[in-house]
Amino acid sequence: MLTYQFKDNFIFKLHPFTQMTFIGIVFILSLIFSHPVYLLGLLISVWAVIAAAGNLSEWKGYMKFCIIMVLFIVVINALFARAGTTIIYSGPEIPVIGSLEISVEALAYGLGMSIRLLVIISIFCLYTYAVNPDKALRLFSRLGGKSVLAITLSVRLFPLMMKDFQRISEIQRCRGVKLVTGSWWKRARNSIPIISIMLLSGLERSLQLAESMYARGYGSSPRSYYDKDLWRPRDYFILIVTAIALVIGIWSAVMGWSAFSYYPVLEHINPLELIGAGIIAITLLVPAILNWGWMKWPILKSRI
Amino acid sequence: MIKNSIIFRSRYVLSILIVFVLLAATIIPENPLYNLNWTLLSTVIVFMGIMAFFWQFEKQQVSSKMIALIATMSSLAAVSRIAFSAIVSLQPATFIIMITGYVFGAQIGFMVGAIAALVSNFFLGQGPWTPWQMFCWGMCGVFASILSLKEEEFRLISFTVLAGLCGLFYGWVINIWHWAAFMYPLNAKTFLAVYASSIVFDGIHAVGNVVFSILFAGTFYRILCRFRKYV
Amino acid sequence: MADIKIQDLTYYYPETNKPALKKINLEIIEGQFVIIVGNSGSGKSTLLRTISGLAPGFYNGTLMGKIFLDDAETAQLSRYELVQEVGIVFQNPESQLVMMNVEQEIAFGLENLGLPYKLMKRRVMEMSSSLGLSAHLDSYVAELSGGQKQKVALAGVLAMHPGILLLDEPTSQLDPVAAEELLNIIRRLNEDNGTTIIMIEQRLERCCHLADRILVMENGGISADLKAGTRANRLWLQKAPAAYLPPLPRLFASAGYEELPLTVKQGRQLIKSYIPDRKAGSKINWYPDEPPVSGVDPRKDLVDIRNLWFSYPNTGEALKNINLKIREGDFIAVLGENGAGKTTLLKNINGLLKPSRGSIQVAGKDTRELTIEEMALSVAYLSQDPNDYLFLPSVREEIDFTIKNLKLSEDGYSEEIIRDLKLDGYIQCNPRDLSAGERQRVALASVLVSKPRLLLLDEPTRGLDYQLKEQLGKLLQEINQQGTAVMMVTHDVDFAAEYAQDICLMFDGGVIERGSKYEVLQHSTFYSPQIGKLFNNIADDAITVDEGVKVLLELTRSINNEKVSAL
Repeated sequence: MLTYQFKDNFIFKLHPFTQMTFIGIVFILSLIFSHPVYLLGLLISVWAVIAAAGNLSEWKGYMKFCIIMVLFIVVINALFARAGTTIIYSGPEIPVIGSLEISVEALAYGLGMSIRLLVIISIFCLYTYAVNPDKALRLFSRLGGKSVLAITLSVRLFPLMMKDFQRISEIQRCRGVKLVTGSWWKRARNSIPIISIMLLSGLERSLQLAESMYARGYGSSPRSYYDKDLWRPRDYFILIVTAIALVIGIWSAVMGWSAFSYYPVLEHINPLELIGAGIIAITLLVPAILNWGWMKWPILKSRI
Repeated sequence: MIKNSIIFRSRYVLSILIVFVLLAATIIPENPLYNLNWTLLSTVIVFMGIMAFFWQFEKQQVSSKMIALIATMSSLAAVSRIAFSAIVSLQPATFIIMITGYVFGAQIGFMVGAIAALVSNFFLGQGPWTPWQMFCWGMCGVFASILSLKEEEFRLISFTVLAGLCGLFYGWVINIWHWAAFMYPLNAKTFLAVYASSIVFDGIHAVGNVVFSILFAGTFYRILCRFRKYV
Repeated sequence: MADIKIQDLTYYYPETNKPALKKINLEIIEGQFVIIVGNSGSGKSTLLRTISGLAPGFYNGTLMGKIFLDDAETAQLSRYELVQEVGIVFQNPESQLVMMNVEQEIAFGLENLGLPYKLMKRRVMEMSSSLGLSAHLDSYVAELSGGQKQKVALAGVLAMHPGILLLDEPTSQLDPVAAEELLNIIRRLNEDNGTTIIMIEQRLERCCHLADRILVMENGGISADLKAGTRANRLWLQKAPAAYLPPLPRLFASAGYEELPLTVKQGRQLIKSYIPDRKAGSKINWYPDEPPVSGVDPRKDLVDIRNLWFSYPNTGEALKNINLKIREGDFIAVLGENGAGKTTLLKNINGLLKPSRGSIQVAGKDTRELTIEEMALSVAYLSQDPNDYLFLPSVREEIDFTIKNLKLSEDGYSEEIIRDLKLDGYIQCNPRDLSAGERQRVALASVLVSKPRLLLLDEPTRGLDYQLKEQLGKLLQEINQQGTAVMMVTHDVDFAAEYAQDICLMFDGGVIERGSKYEVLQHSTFYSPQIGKLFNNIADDAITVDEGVKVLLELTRSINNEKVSAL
């Protein structure tokens, strides 16, 4: 039921902290960078890691949804941005918007931002499919045990309530409650029994859950944490290279290399400034490379 | 009783205000914060807003009943988000969060909203929208709890109006992120364009909230109040 | 580990004037295996809650009197100390498990105690191996079966090493095989580790051979304290109130026998002791007056299932080539193990699922052409959990809701149903406040008001005690005699044998056998009721309590006759 499904490869066998760090750093870098080449570098690395994790088919699903947003961004920017100077099309006067002018700069900006969106969506796609939510939550249990417990319990109840919903709607349909046929308003009104029963039974169950937690000593003393994930050399290795990527990323942001001014005229791309992008992309590709090596030389599995 | 003791201290209002001012500061030109990276900053601020509520929750004495209640209500909201779209192509999650906030106060209301967003995305797919959804739904719970402080007894009309407004609020805050993250220049025109393009969705959300409020609010209020004495 | 001593215990739930427990005095020595029986509302669960400190700790309320564990009064113990002495497992595993995966769930209590990691790891390892959960440590809780979930709940409590284990009807939601397995684990705990066990259990036939002692509770007090003594000694059975007697001893008691057997083996030995020189193959001839009817059955077909195949989209074939007829006036019990397709068959008949291949005709119409709402007029469906029906604030509204939905005419039939189902007294009550048996009758009433021609039930006896089961069985027979055909899915072979006419055996998606209960159940080894097993090769066609009593009376009569003729 969860979107996460375990797969036997290098990416899935990293420590959840390593996975989360990788994802977090790519996310932060994607927000810091505005240079299309830097963003493209990120996109390539993330794509390679998703491929290594075996989640490309899911990623394609994400991308389909993304295309709509990309079009939206490009169109809105093209129509409204006025700062560009290289006009390629000027059209009639349109109310509200003003005169219609489309500039190369606005299109480029829209495309640049689209790459950023693709990176962000892809990195969240990786998070959605490759990180075990249970383990990821547990990373935070030392910081916020109560919230994490509430979230964990909620995730645990989710499939249960989904089943409740299906069962109760079937039963109510057998009692003549029309959920599939009839007008919209009637269907909405007919869902009252279902949601009420889910609420009533859910609340009754919540008291029983609370009782069971209480009987197992919840809140009777400071908690300790049962955490069975082990650290392996691969985790340290990945953590180090992602840290390098972060440092270089911040450094190139401070130096202004990873920024790109689209307006009023597209900035010239200085090849020297792109060295940062290359290094970052290569460091972030390391998990994908290791996964490849791991498949090719099984001996690597036992070494790292 | 819960709502009076835990909730309505002035620092809550203050922290909410600070979040909004900072959010506004990142998107309004010609102020000292304008030159910062808006996308990053707005995400960080929303994240901090969520953390502030969670931090408050961590500092409290929390009974097992409260944990189970929060988990149950957020799971119900999350399930309804997915299950109900099949029946009426709308989802009553916002409504469920609001009525919980109304009956159990701002703290629980926010937690239920935030957790509902997070948990449903474990099944639907996480995205950069997750923290924004968490924040918006959490705030819907907080707004409802503020309404309950203003009222002597439950009134369907005011609750329904607020439910409609919260539907708009939800969409509009999420629009801020769309706008700040992907638009240039950040001016009134692009702002309006983003809002205009989403007005249909926001309107449907608001109408859905109103409908669910009219249909469900009475029953939910009665059931939750009956349950409140056990917690 | 400790002895439990309870002195003058009285307990009130908050905002109630009636005590849930009244002046209870009780001593339970270390290592005893105690079973508590009693009606709903007798205070048995409350007693467990007071011992474990849940009442008043969790429930608030007022507690008077004292509970000691050895010399320590529980009220003086901190919760941290108490939860390590006393563990409690509840009825429904779904409402006890809080974590997403099995290993975390077992560790939950240990985390609460703040134990160091190494110790937790060790306890989790020990518990999972001893309960056979090692293979599932990484599984999600949602993927487990009901029996496995209950084992996980038990493991979570046992990991905290309580010396006293309280169990509140731990097997009532499980199928017989899983129940048996759980009871075996509990027995081992008691025998191998000396853990004190206090268990509430309705079905004594499953477990009373394990117990040292049986407490009967009524109205918040202990009305009988039966020392079962050594486990072979059955004298206590004669003293136990008839309502709590398992079916087998009750059969012998109602035939006027003094000595009461507990198991089939004991029962057969007892019968043989009366007829020691029975010739091989000779049977007790007890036959009732009328010979079984043969010839053409004049009744009409109500449901006609032909070559029915059904597959779920993701999990494959669930029903395979089923041919089955339900005639008017039939009372069929569907037996079979989990996953045999029993519930899927019911859902195909009531139109929730439509056949993948083949056809089902209900009252002459193909189910594919009918909506579920149209079918609801002729086919009523009662699922396992009555809570899935109840949401309105009174019983009356709950029944009227169906009438309104199905647009039935209000012709006073609902009053009749309310009377038949003995709901007159509760008509204005909130159904959610009623006991499990009453809730079930409300749900039943709400589906019966449509005057259905066929009533389908899914495991109606789950969680019911002997009395409620008997009430339900008689009720179903009445409904059946008034002209409604009944088809129920059940794991309870004794219930099926007692009340149904026909049995339908399912296995792996197909119907293996369908026939009168005498044909199907008589000589089966697994699917045979206790009474059938008792009289196997001793008397034919005796599988209900009534028939059993007749056989036993015939037996005593013939013995008396022999004595007379011998004189």
